[in-house]
Amino acid sequence: MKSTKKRMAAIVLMCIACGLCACGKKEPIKIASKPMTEQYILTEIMAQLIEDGTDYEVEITKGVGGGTTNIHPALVKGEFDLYPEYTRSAWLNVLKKEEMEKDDDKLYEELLSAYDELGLTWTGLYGFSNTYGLAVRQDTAKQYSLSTYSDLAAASGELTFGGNPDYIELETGYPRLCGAYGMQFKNTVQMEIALKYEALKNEEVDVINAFTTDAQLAANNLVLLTDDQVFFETYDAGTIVRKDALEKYPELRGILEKMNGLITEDEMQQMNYEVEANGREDRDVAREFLENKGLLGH
Amino acid sequence: MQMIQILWERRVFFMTCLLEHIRISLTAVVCAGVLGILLGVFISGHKKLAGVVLGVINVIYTIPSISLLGFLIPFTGIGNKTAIIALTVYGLLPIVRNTYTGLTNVDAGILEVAEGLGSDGRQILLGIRIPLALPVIISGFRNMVVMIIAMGGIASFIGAGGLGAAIYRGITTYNMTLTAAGSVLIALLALFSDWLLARVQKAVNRRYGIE
Amino acid sequence: MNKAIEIRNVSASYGDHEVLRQIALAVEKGEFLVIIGPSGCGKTTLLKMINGLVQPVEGEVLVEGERLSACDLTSLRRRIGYAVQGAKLFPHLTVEDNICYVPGLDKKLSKEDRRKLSGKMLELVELPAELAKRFPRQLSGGQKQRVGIARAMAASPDILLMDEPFGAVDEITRRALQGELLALQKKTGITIVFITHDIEEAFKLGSRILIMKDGVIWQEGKKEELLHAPRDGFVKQLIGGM
Repeated sequence: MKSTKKRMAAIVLMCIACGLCACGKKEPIKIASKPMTEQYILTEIMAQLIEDGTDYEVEITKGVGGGTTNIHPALVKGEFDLYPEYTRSAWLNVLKKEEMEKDDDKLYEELLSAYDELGLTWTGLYGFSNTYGLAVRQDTAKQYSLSTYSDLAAASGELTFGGNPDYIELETGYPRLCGAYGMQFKNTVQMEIALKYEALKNEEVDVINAFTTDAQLAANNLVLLTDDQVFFETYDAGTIVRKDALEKYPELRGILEKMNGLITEDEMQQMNYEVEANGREDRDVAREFLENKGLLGH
Repeated sequence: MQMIQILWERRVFFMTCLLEHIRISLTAVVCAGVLGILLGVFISGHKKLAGVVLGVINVIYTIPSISLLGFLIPFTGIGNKTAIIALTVYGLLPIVRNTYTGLTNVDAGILEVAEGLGSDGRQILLGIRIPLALPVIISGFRNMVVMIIAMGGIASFIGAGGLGAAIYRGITTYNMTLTAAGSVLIALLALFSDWLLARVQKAVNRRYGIE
Repeated sequence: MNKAIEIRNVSASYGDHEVLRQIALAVEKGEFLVIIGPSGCGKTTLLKMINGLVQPVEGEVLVEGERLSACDLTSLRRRIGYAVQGAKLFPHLTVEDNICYVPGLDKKLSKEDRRKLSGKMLELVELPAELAKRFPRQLSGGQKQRVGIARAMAASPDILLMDEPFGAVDEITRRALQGELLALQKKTGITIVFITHDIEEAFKLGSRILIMKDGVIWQEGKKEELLHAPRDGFVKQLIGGM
């Protein structure tokens, strides 16, 4: 019928018009974060800097399960514009290199060029590392006089090791640790990241692999052992962003570069602690940090 | 209680999660409902296919939801879209099965009389078969809705919205209260929906002449 | 065409089991044909051949001159009233909606028309008008059966097929209904094919009676013919000490 056709045409025209209007307004910048406190805080810092310094809008997806494995493909596809990553995680999980590169500068250079081919780039590093460490309870440290990895190796025959599957399975993780220091633990247990600290507290395991900025270290009064042979490399944190996002949002690069060298390891651990042990919201902790640094309020 | 306190303090967060959970669940419910009923009607008319279709859906049902989500991610990305697809797939089973059972268990004598009186295929399906199968179909619908709401919690693990975000956030920030609060809200939402549908079911039963 | 129904050498089977064998039958317009016989003799199947619910394995069925195999069964059935054992009313429809079912298949009826039609039909089967808004589950067995008859007749069909329609009705009401049916038939000239197991009822109603056994017509004729010359002991026993 004629009138129905007219109505259909009108609706189609309206949709096109709306679509065009929506295109005029800039889409929000999409940030992803891994499911960990530290990343919730880092992405909040990013978002608040962007929203404070520009009139871009920001959308954070906090806690993408699977971490790099799921975020990276989505980033490449364009579902996200940027996210915080650790240099050597990218090296291992994205570029899938089998050998570790010991030189930090060489590593970064290679990362930049490899990522460039994917249409992505790093805007810089924040200034802290979140590296694999080994944690024990205070009493264990006292009992076996543990302060370094070598000390641990000596006592390893009487202790149980607990680690997350990624670490235990990865050639460059647990196997390499044991090989390098000659560790031979009485028993090895696999468990999820979030369960490790509980297990350690309950004495189900004696040693766990931890991240050096984990809030739970301070919260549970644990001892972080020193990598005395400096065998293990650092995982520096920085932002990975799509090159076309930098073009689409010209002010973005400047804002992101503000984060270079901004955060020390202590500061990061302190912020993690605020959220996990003191139950504060990541958003508030991030804002407080930025205000103290005088970076907000233009 | 700590949980009430956190629900109040982060009420904006919880409200956003709740609304999104409802949105995602509702979308999946509608998709699974429409698809499921159409499929159920189709196989009730083609009994040979019924075995195959029900078998396939049964197998899919046994796949753990995390696996299905993980399987979909390379194709449909992370976020709400994948969640809705996975939830729709899971929602199919109760609906298809109940629609099929309901339609095929209608009194054959009544269907024969309807045919003998001069009803054509469409009139029998729409006027007799489906109304008489409605109580069973609605019961399946009720199961499906509760299941989708509960399962929706997992979707947040792959970046979708919803109350699962509160649960996951709590786990990853070692904040058990947050996790508990999210779980309780999902349970309440599921219970409320079930209660609502129970009343719908009663009304339908009354209208369609079943005690 | 004077013949309302013609059944030409029809055989029917359910799977391997032969239910009807070489049935030949002609029903004149306005006849009241009663079919009687022991269970399993095929009488219900024979009835169902007339409105095409059962297809013959061989032979042909004609209704009002039309071959069932070549006509639009659905529209034909709307001109044939059908009342079955146990009524089989639609449980999700009110009595009124059940009664108005067949007319409603062709076109939408107004509220007023429905009220009038169901009122008229309820009166015909001796039921109070208040029952119109009730649901079948609220009726007694006998009431359900009568609504079933009302439903069969609501569209004023030319032919009426009835399978033991008075089975669950009490004696007094049954006599009244039998009288109504006869009167209706005389007035409208409707053709009726009626199954019963009650020989008294058969004799009372039928202008012609068909006795069936083992899938064939064992004997047929008017009441007097059967009484005078029963074919064998079986028939004699059937018609009893009448």
